[in-house]
This record gives sequence, C-alpha cells and structure tokens, in this order.
Amino acid sequence: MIYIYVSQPISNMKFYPVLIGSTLFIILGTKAVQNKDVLEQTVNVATLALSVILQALPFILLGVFASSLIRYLVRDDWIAKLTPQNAVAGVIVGSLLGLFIPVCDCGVLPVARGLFRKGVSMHTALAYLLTAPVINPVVILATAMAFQWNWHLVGLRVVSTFLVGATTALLAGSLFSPKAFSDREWHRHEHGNPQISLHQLLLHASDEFFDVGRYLIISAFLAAAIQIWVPKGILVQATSNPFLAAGAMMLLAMAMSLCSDADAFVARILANQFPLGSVMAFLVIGQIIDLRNIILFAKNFRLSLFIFLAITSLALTYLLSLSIDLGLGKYLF
Amino acid sequence: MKIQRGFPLVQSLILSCFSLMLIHLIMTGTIVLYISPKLIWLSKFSAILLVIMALAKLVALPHNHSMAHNCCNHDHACGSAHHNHSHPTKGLLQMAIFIIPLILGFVMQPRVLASTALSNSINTAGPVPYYAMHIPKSDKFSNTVQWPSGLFVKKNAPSSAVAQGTNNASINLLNKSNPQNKLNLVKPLTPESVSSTVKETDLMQLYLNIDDHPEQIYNHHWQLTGFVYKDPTLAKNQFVISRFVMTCCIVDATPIGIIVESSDAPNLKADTWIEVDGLLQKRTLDGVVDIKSVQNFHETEDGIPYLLATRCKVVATPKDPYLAPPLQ
Repeated sequence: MIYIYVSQPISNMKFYPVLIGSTLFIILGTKAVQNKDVLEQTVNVATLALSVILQALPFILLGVFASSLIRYLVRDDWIAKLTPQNAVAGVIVGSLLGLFIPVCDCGVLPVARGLFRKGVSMHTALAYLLTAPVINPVVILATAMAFQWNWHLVGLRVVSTFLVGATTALLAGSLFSPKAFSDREWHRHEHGNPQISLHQLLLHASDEFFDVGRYLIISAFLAAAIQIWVPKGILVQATSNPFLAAGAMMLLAMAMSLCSDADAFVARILANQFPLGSVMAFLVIGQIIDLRNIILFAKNFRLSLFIFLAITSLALTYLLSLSIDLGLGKYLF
Repeated sequence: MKIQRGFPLVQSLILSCFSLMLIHLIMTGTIVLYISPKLIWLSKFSAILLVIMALAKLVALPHNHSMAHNCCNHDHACGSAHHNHSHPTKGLLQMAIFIIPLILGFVMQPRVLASTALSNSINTAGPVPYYAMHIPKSDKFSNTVQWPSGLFVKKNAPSSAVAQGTNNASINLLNKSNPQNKLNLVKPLTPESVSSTVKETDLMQLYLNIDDHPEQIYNHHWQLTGFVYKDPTLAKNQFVISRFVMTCCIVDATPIGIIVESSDAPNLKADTWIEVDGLLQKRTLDGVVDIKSVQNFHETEDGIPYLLATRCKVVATPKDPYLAPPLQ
C-alpha cells in the first residue's frame, strides 16, 4: 500500500536531497572544527534543530491527519463536481483552499498530495501547495499580530503570495504533465475505500508521518546549522539598494526556513532596516521555497518541475519586490 | 509491502518514544527552552495523538496481512508494477533518522541561546545592531512596526514595575493612540516621583514603553536581568544586557538589549547571566562618553538607551530565559 521510497530506483532524484543535505552539514561541521568552542556550537545547533522539530511536530501531525481525512472522507466524485477543470479557475480555487484546509508549510505537502490523489487537477494541487502556508486564517492572524493589525501589510502579503504562487502553479500546471509528480505516492488511487475505519485512518496518518517526517528532521538540522555557522552579516549590509535588498532578504528567508506563523515577527525586525518590497519578498518566498520545501519538493517532483518551480517563484518574487519598491508602494501607502 | 509492513513494531516504538520524549520534556519543564510556552498545549495534544498512532500500529500486526495484500494488488493494478522490494536494512536505516531527535531530547542538556547565537546573526551584523534599534524611524512603516505600549499585555511583569497609581491623563493618551484596541491592559510604568528607587522590570517592559512614555523610562533606576553580550565595537567598560524574545521556537528568537556601562564590565564574561541595577539614560552617539568606538549608529539625533550600572550581580540562568513577544 505505501512504500518507503527506498524501494524506488535511485535515479529518481530521491537521494539527492539527502546527499546534498548531509554534505552541506558536514562542510558546515568541519568549518566549526576550526573554531575553539566547537562543542558549544554543536550543542547549540542540536538544541535549535530539536526546537524546530518539536515546534513542527504538531503541525506535521495536523497535516498528515488532514491528508488521511481527505483520503477516507472525501469522495472522488465530489471533487470532480466541485473543482473546475479550467486551469485559471483551478488555480484560484487551489489558492483559496487554504482558507478551508489550514495547514502551515510543515504539513501542506501530504494534504496537497491527498487532494491530487482524489482527482484534483495539477493546477489546483500546486496552487494549494504554494499558497496555503500563507493564505490560511491562522497565518493571516499571526501576520496581523506581528504587524500591529496593519491590514494593508497583511493584505499585501496575502496578495503577493497569491500572485507568485498562483502564477507559478498556472505555468507549471500548463507546462508539465502530472507525471512530473514523480513520487509514486501521488498516483496511488483508491477508488472509494469500502471499510473506513479509524484504525485505517491512524495507520495511514502514521505512514505519512514517517514519509514526511524524515525530511523535516534533515531540514531542521540544516536550518539550525546555517543559523549558527553561516555568517549572515553580509546579507544585512545591503539595506539601501532595493535590488540588492530583495535578493538578500530572499536568501535569508530560504536559509532561515521559518514557520509561517513566526516569520512575520522576524520580518518586523527586518522592516526597521529594509525597504518594504524586500520585506515582502522575505515573507513570500520563505513559505514557497525554503530548506524544508526544497528537500520535500526534490523528493516529490521530477527534477525539471522542481527547478521550474524554484526559478519561477524566485523570479516572480524578485520582480514583485522591485515593483513594490519602485512605484507600487507609493500607491499603497 | 514487506518493507512497509515489516516494521510496524519499530514504527510503533518510535512513535511512542516521541510521545515519551514530549512528556519527559513537559514534565521536566525543559520544553520552554525549545518552544514558546503558548505552544505547549499543542505538544501535549501531539503526545496523545502519537500514543494512539503507536497503538494502532501495534494492533495492525496480527490481521494486517490480508489488508496489505489488498493494497498491494491494488497498486499493481494502477500500473506501478516495478516497485522492487529492497533490502529491509535500508528501510531500517531510513527509520534511524527518527532516533536522532529522540536521543537529543532525552540526553542533551539544551543550551540557552546566548552570544554564540548572536555572533553570526542578522541582529548584530546590520548597520544598526539590535540594542540600538528600539525606535523604528522608518517612514513608511511608521505606524506599523513600532511596539506601541498600549497594545501589549505583559503577564509576568513584576508588580513593582507596574504603576500603582496610574493617572488618568496617561490612560486617555493610551486610549487615544489606539482607539481600536480593547486590550488596553498594559499599565504604564509610571514611576514614583522619587527616581532613586530601583524598580525591577524586564527588558521587554522597557521596550514596550520607551517610545510612548520616554519620561517614565529615562532617568529612572531599573533592575534588569539578562545575559552579557560583548559586542567587539563597544568600549571596555560596556556590554549589552540582552534577552531573546521567542515567538514559536528558538530559531525565530530575536534579541533585545540595552548597553550597560559598568566598572565591572571587564570582569564579566560573555554569556554570564546578571542582575543589574542602574540609571537608564539616553545618550547620543556623537562622541559622548566612551561610546565613540561604536561606528555604525544612525540614530544620533535620538540617542539610544544606556544604563549606568550601580550594581552588577551574577545570577544563575533563569528557568525561563526567553521573553514572550508582545501580543500574546
């Protein structure tokens, strides 16, 4: 029923994220050896990593249970009736779905996968995957809190994420066939499971937990190592130039891999020094492409689709950030 | 199929160990060194869910065979016929990664974030270091990224720091500045008229009031607790008393702090937790006193808070070293 991905050909790019991840980790580790307080730093990295894991755990569980519920409670024909086949409409529905199935970026992938298995179009699944971590009530509320109930900024974040995520999903959905979801999990169809039992639901949830969890653990250690060992000072030097600032903020967002509930609180600090557009870039790209998502996407998608998603969303975010800084911002504020 | 169904026992064990780890961390109280106290209920919930999942895995063992076969057949029917059953040890190896956080959770004494976490951080490397950033001057964000005092609730504010006799004028002021906000619970730090009494508070409380009620903050004596951060750009008799503010987990922790000038400063090691009494003043950075060595400050016209210490006492690391962000 469910395989561990080991059972699949290695050529599927499944091992590359793990390989790249562990190599990077070792490089960072050896860099630390030159330092005198290696142990101190290593314990710091371990503490940070465990902190990320502990914090993400409930949200992963939320994601895998939502996915299991979809699997057992949603019927294929409902999906066929309710979701539009038209690409543009599908993308819009996918982007708004987060309001009803709120999961953060730790748990969004199993849910998107579950929806796709139920017959949702590729456009819709991708749009959900890319936008749901931001366009959901919990994160909107957290962002509003962080920005002192300034709904302009909250709206700007939601709209920016929608523009970037939906456009990326639209393009990717049109250019790639569903086969680009290379992980077999995406294509495992169950036609109306006859016996829906709580037991099966729990089994499915724990299988998904093991499937997604390992990548989250790897990315937690990577994010922690970057936090402690990689000097980020150079990134925050470029405050005045919007072209540099946007790039720097996007790099920072990807390296920090913050949870969508917490990133607005960090962005508020950055907002003291950086132009608005680059702060928005931080808030948008951090939930679409960060270490966690890179590892999960690379495992789930064909390499071409993965690279397409990464480049398109990066480029769109950069453009959006510049357009906010060089004009659009004046009309908004 | 063998791979997946081959290890329900191992999976069940891992799930229950995760649950045990959560319970262990919550019982010992160390969980507040990892995640924000407001998320602990989620961890409790997860611990329960994980136990249930572990039980489900165990029950699956005896009558699992037929079900697994069903699903397996099904998959074959769907055209993915080429899944090779790889060696079971590989599957176990994949499972092994779950053991790392478990070992860390049970064995490791978590480190409280301090200078090490600051040395490569965005908070010290920018043009304005964190301890000089309390007044957001940015134009377009002027109404947004401030930390206006009226909005915030600080539950564990020591009562001595909170005003006993709040005057009506300041309450009106607060209400006027934030009319939309009903949660106007922060009591302004109105000092008694004699400014020589030392009042205990925490850094967050000072930060929350510093913009709107500077007259209640500056030129008063405060007692603060925090760790020593030694910025290389500061003079020998200065250090930064700092605390981290944690929103969800310690990866998003951001520091706040105030420069302290004290004759004890050269003897204090970085990361020592201390309790400082001192007079809080505002200093401009244009060559006043010893602060010349700081090069990057922008906000010269305003000055930054600056604590002239009268007493420094080394204390143990507190049980809850992280401060909560405003608006909980």
